[in-house]
Amino acid sequence: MKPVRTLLNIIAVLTVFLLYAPIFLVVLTSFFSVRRGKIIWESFSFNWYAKLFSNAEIGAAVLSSIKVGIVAVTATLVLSLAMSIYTSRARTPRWERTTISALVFLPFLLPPIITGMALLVTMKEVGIARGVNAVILGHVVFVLAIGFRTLQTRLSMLDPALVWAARDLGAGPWRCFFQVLLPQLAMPLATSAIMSLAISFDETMITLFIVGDGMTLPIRLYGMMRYGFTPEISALVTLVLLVTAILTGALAILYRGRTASIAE
Amino acid sequence: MTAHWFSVAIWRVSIWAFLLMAVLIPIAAFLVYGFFGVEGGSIVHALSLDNYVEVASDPVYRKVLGKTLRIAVEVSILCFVTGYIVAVFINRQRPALKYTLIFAVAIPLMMSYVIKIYSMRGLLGHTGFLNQFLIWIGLIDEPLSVFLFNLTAVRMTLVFALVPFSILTTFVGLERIPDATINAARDLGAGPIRIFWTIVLPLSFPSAVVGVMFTFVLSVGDFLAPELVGGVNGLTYGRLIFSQFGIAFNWPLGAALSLVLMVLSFAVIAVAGKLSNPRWLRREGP
Amino acid sequence: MDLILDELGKCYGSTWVLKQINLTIGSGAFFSLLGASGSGKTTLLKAIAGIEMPDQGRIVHGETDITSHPMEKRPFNTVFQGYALFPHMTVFDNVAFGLRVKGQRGGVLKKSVTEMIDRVGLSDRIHAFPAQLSGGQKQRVAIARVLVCEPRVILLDEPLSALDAVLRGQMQRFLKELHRDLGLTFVFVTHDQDEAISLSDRICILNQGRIEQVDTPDALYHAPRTTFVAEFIGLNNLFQMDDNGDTEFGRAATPHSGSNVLTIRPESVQVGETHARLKSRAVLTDRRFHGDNTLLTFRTATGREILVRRPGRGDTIELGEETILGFPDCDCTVIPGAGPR
Repeated sequence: MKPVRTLLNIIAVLTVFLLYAPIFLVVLTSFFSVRRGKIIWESFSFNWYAKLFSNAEIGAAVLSSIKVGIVAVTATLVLSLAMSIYTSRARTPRWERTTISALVFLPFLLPPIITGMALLVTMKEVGIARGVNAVILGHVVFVLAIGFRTLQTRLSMLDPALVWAARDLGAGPWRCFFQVLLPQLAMPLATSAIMSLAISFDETMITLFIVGDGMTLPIRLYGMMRYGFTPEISALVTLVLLVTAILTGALAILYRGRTASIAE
Repeated sequence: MTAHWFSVAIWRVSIWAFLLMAVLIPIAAFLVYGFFGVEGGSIVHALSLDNYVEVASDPVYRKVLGKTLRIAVEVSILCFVTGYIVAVFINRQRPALKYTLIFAVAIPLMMSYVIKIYSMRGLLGHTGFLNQFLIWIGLIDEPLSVFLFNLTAVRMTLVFALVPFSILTTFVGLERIPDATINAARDLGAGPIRIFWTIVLPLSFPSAVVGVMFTFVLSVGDFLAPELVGGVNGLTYGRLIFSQFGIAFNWPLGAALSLVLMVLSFAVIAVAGKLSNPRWLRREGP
Repeated sequence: MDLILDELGKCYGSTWVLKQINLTIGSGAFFSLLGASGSGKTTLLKAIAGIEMPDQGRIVHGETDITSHPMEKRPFNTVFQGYALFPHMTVFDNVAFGLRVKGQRGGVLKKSVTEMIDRVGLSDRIHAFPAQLSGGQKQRVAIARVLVCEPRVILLDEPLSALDAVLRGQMQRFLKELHRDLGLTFVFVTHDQDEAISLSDRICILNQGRIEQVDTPDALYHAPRTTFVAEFIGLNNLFQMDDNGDTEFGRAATPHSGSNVLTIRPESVQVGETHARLKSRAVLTDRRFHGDNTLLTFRTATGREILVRRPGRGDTIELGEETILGFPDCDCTVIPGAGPR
């Protein structure tokens, strides 16, 4: 029994290690020159980053990624608020609740290739051009499930008497929403904002279908990667990872001391 | 009262309008597209069964689908098993370490998929770190190029990218098992293996199966990993579909091929949905 | 102003959870709705509060029909089960909420809120958040929050059910004093009959969505009108009685027509010597000591169990010993028209 358990523990530790090791190596290569697969330790520099920053194409990609992220996340939060509160209302018929959540989760659960293609053919038929606006819509459709789910979970745990109490004391619907409901939803809103931003910033598969010339950062990265493994790409990867790290850091600060609920 | 009724109506209509335009119509459009055709570089909007006939009759598609399914099943099983090993390990740690570890497992889920594929290339490539390592320990003299650009590389990349899903979902399931339940089994004389098979596995499976669903659906439809690390032999079903939207330019065929993928995904999601909600989890009553 | 419920009914799908509720709750009364879970008492309270709209009947307050008024327009306020304090607001802001809705600001608001918090004895916790309060303190905040709005009627939904026994006692006394001082109408929902009996002026007993009896606590105990009430309030012995007034223990004094039920409280049963017309031999099968009294269970030759309460340690009867039990006419209550059980 003992050796088996030790072996399993080793596998576990190794797995967690391997989740990071390859990525860490990429980050490493962004600071050094690599010749014939060997890292030349003497060559530490930020040259690759300097080169990156003078690249106008990458600058444009970063800008459109930021634009997509901000607009898509804002739209997602508004929509998921409207939908989760609507489905949590006692008076909303059951079939509406189940259908709305099914439709929200569908694009998230299906392989991204289907969601991407479905959006592509629709946009072509309707006459929406590929590009940044199309990508925003695509990201909202994909990421909506996260905001919806997070808010719905919180709403289902909320004591309905909280809203009754506010109304009982004379508050109208708007006051109920802004002074009682919204403060209760601050945490899930922040959580979904961060997670949606991270996903929108990294999304590649759906975006690839509808991006056209809009070129978000992951798409640019994808284009560059087809030509090999270079320190310049590694530098760009490191920068993207930095953004992810900042977002996870924000999430960690948000949940300080209550990490348990993140896993949900 | 009337004003209130009116605003609820607007609220309701906007939600449905969005879902209709952004989800329902695209799905419907894609379903219809499979019946269209292509002629001289443009889409022919006339309904025909040609694409489906082609998908059903051409053995190439069936072969690629079979190969892809096998990869997806292998990847899911590997993720499932690894998921349990890691989740059990993490769940046994003291609380502070436990949540740090599970957070560490969750972070890679927020990282870009393309970046993960890229790191696998850095690891497995001709001048990659794996080769360097093997030369360094003296196992080989010259770098090998067998690691990259084949289906094994695709499998490894998929497991690397998807295993956090199964670790997380399994962990959620394990964490919900009260210590008292395990202690009761031990009190009744069960050993660790029996406890795992008869208590831990059945109680955590409804949660773990959600992770399996994610790994399967995402790996069966993936085209990025095959495209970037699969090489010439790495033609998978997802890549086949994607190519219809690139050089091959046959969107209707792509849509028809995707229908198969969608039916498959629905089946897996439905089965996972059933398995994740067993009778003992459901409350009695209406 | 009286609160009148007229033929009130509420259904979910095809099941009526409230049927033909006719009630008059007098102004200034401490009125309890008592029933087991599922009896409809909370639904009835929600209908009065305006959380649930009744499917039938009217709710009238004084001269005004308020059936269709939304809850924010009703001159009632509710203390919810689990308190429903706003977790992101301090004690002060919770209590101030209702007044702010009414547009009160500045010094006037501050004065009435601090006075109210003072009155419920929480002056030192005025800037605390609900999560930092004990159960009893949260309860006081919930009460202060509605009192400051000066409602005509206060609805309380199982307000004490989350508190431990000692705190419950304190809060019961606090509520009773509050009611006496303010002279407001209290409508109090509870499943705890001791609580209802000791606090209320009048109690409405609900069973499966219907009213069983509305009466003073004394009348409910001593003159139950249905077998349900007879068994629900306190312990009781119920015997079947036929047209002639015959029971299995002899003929009762006052025959009624139809089939009736005869009840006698355990403390009224005579043990050993008796001159009562109704009597039976019985064997002691169980003895439970309650400190100031002892509850004895006897079994007759026909297998019927009879509960007897004796003061102190009870009689010196051994388990298994046979004795004679008497049921004096003056202590028996007849429930007319209660069919065979």
